[in-house]
Amino acid sequence: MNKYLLTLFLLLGVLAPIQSTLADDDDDDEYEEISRINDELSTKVGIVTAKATAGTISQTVTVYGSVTQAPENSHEIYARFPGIIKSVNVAIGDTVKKGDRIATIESNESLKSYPIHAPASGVIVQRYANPGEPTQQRRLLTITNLDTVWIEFRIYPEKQAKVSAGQPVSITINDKTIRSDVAHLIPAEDKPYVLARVKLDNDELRLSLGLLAKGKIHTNEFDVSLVVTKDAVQELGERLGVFVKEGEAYEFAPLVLGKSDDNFIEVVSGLEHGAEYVSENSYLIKADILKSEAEDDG
Amino acid sequence: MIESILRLAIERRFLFLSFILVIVGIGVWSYQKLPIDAVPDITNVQVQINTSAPGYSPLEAEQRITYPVETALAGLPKLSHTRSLSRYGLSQVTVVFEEGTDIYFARNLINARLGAIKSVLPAGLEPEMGPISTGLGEIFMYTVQANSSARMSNGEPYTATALREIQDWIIKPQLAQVKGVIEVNSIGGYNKQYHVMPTPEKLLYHQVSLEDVADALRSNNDNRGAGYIEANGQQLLVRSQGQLATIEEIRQVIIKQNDGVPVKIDDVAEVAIGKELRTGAATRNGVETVLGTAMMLIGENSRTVARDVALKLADIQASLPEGVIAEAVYDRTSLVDKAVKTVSKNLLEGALLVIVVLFVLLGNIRAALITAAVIPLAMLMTITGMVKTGVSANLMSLGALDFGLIVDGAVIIVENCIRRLAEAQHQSGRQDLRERLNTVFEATSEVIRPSLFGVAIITIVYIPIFSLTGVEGKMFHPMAATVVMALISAMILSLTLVPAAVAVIMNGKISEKESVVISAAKSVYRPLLLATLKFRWVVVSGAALLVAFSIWLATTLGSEFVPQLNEGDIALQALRIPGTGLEQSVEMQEVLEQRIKAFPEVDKVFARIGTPEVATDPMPPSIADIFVILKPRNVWAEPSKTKNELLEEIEEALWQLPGNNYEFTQPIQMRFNELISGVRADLGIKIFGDDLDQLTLTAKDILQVVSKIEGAADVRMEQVEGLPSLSVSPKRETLGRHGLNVIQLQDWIAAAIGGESAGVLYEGDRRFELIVRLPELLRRDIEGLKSLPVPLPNGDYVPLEEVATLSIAPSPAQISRENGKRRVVVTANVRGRDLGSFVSEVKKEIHEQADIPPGYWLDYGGTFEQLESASQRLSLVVPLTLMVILGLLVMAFASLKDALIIFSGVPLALTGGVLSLYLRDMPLSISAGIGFIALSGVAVLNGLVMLAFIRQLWHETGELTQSIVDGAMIRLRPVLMTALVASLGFVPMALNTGTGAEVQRPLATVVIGGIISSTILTLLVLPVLYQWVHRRDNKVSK
Repeated sequence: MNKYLLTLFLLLGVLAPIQSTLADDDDDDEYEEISRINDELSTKVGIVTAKATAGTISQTVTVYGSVTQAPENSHEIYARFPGIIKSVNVAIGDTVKKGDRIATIESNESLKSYPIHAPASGVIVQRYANPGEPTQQRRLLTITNLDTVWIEFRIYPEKQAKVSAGQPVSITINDKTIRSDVAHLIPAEDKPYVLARVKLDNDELRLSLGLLAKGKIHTNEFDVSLVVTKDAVQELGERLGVFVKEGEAYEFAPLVLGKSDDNFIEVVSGLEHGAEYVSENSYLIKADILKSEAEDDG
Repeated sequence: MIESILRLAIERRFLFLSFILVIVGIGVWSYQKLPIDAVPDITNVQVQINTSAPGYSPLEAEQRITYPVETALAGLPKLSHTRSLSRYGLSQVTVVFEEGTDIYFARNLINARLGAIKSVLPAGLEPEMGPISTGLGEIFMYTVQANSSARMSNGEPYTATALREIQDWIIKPQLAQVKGVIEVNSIGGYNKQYHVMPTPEKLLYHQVSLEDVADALRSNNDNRGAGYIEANGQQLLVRSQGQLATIEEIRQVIIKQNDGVPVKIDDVAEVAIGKELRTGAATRNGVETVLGTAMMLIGENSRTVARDVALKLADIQASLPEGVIAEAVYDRTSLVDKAVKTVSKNLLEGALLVIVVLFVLLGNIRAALITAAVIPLAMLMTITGMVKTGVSANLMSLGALDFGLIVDGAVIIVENCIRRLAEAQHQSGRQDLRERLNTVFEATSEVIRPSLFGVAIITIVYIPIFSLTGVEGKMFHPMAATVVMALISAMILSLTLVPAAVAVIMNGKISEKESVVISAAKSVYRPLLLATLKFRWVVVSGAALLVAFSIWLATTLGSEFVPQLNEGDIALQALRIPGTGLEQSVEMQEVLEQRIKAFPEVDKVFARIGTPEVATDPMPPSIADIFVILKPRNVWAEPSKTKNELLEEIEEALWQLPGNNYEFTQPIQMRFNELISGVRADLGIKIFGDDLDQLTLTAKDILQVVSKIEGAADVRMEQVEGLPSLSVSPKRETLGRHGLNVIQLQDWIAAAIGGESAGVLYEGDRRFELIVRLPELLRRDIEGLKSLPVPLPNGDYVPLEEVATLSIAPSPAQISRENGKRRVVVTANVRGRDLGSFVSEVKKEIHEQADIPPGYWLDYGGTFEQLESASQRLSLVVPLTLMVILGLLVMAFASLKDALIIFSGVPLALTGGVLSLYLRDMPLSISAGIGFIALSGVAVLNGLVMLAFIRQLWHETGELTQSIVDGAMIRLRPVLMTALVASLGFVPMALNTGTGAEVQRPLATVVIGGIISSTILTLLVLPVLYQWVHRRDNKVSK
């Protein structure tokens, strides 16, 4: 009898503690989609709210392209009648004005000399001709005008539907940003993309040809009745939405979202005009609502 | 044999006494080697294999690294199990070996296997074994910070990168030299890297690819030796220096020539000192910092090592740039010192009390001193034994030492010697030497058997503790081992040194006075005993009722596993939702720490977020380990505030902060949890299989089934998903049209976003990586990434979204494997029902309801397993032990009845233990349980002393009742004496409130309460029982 009593006791003494201590308290898995944070604290942790208002969504696409010469600004000078070059009045690097006499040719047929005038203003970039040489059928001089250049942006199929002529574009090149408009779209030969051409005044920029440029084409602009900042939107339970502040409570409002741009996103439904929503550090609210799920599984 | 030893000890008494010097010498020498720590080490024999795989996602880390490593380790000898973890940039395989495996043997085996699979692993990845350390290894932490006025050589304030550089290249190499330090782990700041960040447009313009840039850097950054030449008898070494040293030099590296024009790095890229893609950060008092942790080699003395590290750190301070401060934030020495102080105070006070009691009761100062001398000698022998068996000194192992129990044997011998010597002197005046020696021999051999017998019984009682396994085993084995060693030492001493000392020292006139205490006790005891013998039914049924009552009382006591050692500091984990980024985590952490720091009691607060350099604790960036170091209590505004009250206040303040979940614990405790890291719930159902989605589905299924079962609580599933990832899936068709293949695209993405290493820059000893990757602004802009131009082999380019689909999708945050297979765990606790029936119902229901596809299987684990095995083992071992004791008693008395009567002392003793727990408002715990175990031993000893004498008298006189009364009266002194020394020895332990006292308090409380009740009841109930049992044997016994 005593023996069993003792066994019982020892087992009781040794085992009872183990049996009942390992159960620890735990929250429910279900979570409320609401979080309460007092105002002082929310300022401290950097929660910023904004009012949902009407706004403009301006969509852009980012494209790359290179600086090309405007074909209309490059002139190659040939002799009209074959003959002997009498004189060349310009050297590489000289600036000429339209109508300047740049060379004199003696025609083989009439043996008369006739002048060649600059067809346009520009810079002499190539000179192939020297006095005494026959003109034959060759290029004598090249005049180029770099006052205007074109940038040809490549528009790949993914974006082609969005881009059309006349859209404004901001171009980043050599760390400078320039605004302009898409002049027209032309298909590129044997390539899967189309070219969106943009004319640039090169007076001050002095861009060289072939430079790569990055452009943001503003493809669309919508005035929509309600927008929220893009940073405000969080995913919770596989739905997207924002946190609406009421008093010191922040409640998740699942939204139907529409168009978006770099900063804003259109709200189709789910939010009232003028509602105060968390625009910055919304992740904290999400983290707070889901915090019971956070566990150390290492 | 015992007699011949005794004779030898007395004959060669001076030789034996000189052994004292040997014992002291070896003991003191051993003490120097004794590992001292606050708590026992409960880490299993494990080796962590970490493979750092920058840029690898969990899935890839598992497929390419974890799997081959795990497979290679399969079948290692003495392997217990493996588990693994694949996270972003890290594969960690933990190999657990059977208990008792030599760690160096294990590491050698692993090393050989790892060497064999090098060729299977992706190039450049190197699996590394974690430091040879344990859960107690993190003994010292410090932060590196700069004064706000301090300036770097370029005049700017110190950056996190610069501080990390100081940590890695000035502090760490010096600290690593401290003996006993196996690793200095760094977290926080950024590894300094040189970043070359090309702009995509410029690359395209110059027709240069990222690969070209990296190649150019690689092939223009080397020093070469070219042998030597002899000139004029002199040897000249030839070397060509081509290593890059400065940012300016990097800029001037030529990538290629375009039409004769060289394209330099400068033309296409920015070069700057950049930030690595780090996996961990550290904060202190709400500011980012760099945190270093010194880890101790297995088996070292943590107090010495921590102290040495602290001294070294103070030395290092002199070598740091002005204004940079390396400051200790956590030092194990203070905790160990406090714990050691508590233990030594307990032991010292206990020893003093024992000596006083001996003196008062024996009434002979020499005799008392001889007995007391057993205490330090036994202690020194125990220490020697501990060093030999590798038991460390800590609160647990020294927590059950009771000098009262240790001197029991010696007390009995010395008492008898004095009695006999005094008697002899009384009869024949002064004895000569030979006579005296003879008397001592006779007196000793008379009591040596019962005394050895008693000590043996107490020792045997501790045996069940050795059958505990796992964590409990590691906690309590050292305790039992120490007690047993101390008892055996005492046994050896009382067999040899004690008689020798008595023979030498007790040479003058022996006075033996009965002290006032004893005579007073006797005058009270006699009438009481007579009364109880008269009303024996009342007494027996009263005792039975008392036992019943205390059993009921025991069930109402709360319970805890092991009383938690109060480490004095607080550790807490802040858990954020999976997928939280490191920078976000740091921001949240800073606010949190400011809150904690606002408490006036808090001295420092610092934290580790994510994974340190050596992934000893691979946490995701969403988790922070926070250490709160409190000020000494005497500078608190309210010194009476308990730590728990403070904890509650902190907890309340922290819960207001959004987005954090917390787990409160203590530094060492936290580390143990991380390392042991098994399933911590009652029941864990592990689902093994191949496909993660299917595993998740099945786990959800099982979750449903288990939740419905009665008694299930906290049913939850291991989190597998939850790490959002940006996946770039190549469009194979378009890729082909552009003449690209998948690997080219992937290489480009990896280099552009993740960065590609392009060599190393040396600054003296220091080496820094050279990385090529896109500028931060471009990397962060997800929309922008879509239109990023991907270079084509023909020099053309195409936007990324043309050849790949970019989408953000959830992906596994980590993949856990066990024994070489993927697994997901569903855990549950059980409330209000017994574990056994719950588990069998769960098994049945899952079998019937859950759909387990072929190729998937289940394994049931959790604490229920340990519980089951522990209770099975204990239900076998405990009765067996009791049988052994009973057998011994039967052997000694040749009577089952007497043996059972002695046994009756046990439940009676337990009543006092339960009552004292109840009175002190303490829960049942394993510590208390061990108290009960020790108590049973003492109770048996008590009964033994009493019964043996009564029986002897009865056999001599044949008068039962008279023998009982006389015997009880004569044995009152030894019973009181053993009881008093045993319980007083524990009093300081029961009352102490110092650091670590909470671990020992329940044990001491139980023993004291139990001994009081057992003494009273042995003195009263045992005689009654004896009389009752033997009343019919009266005549036969003659």
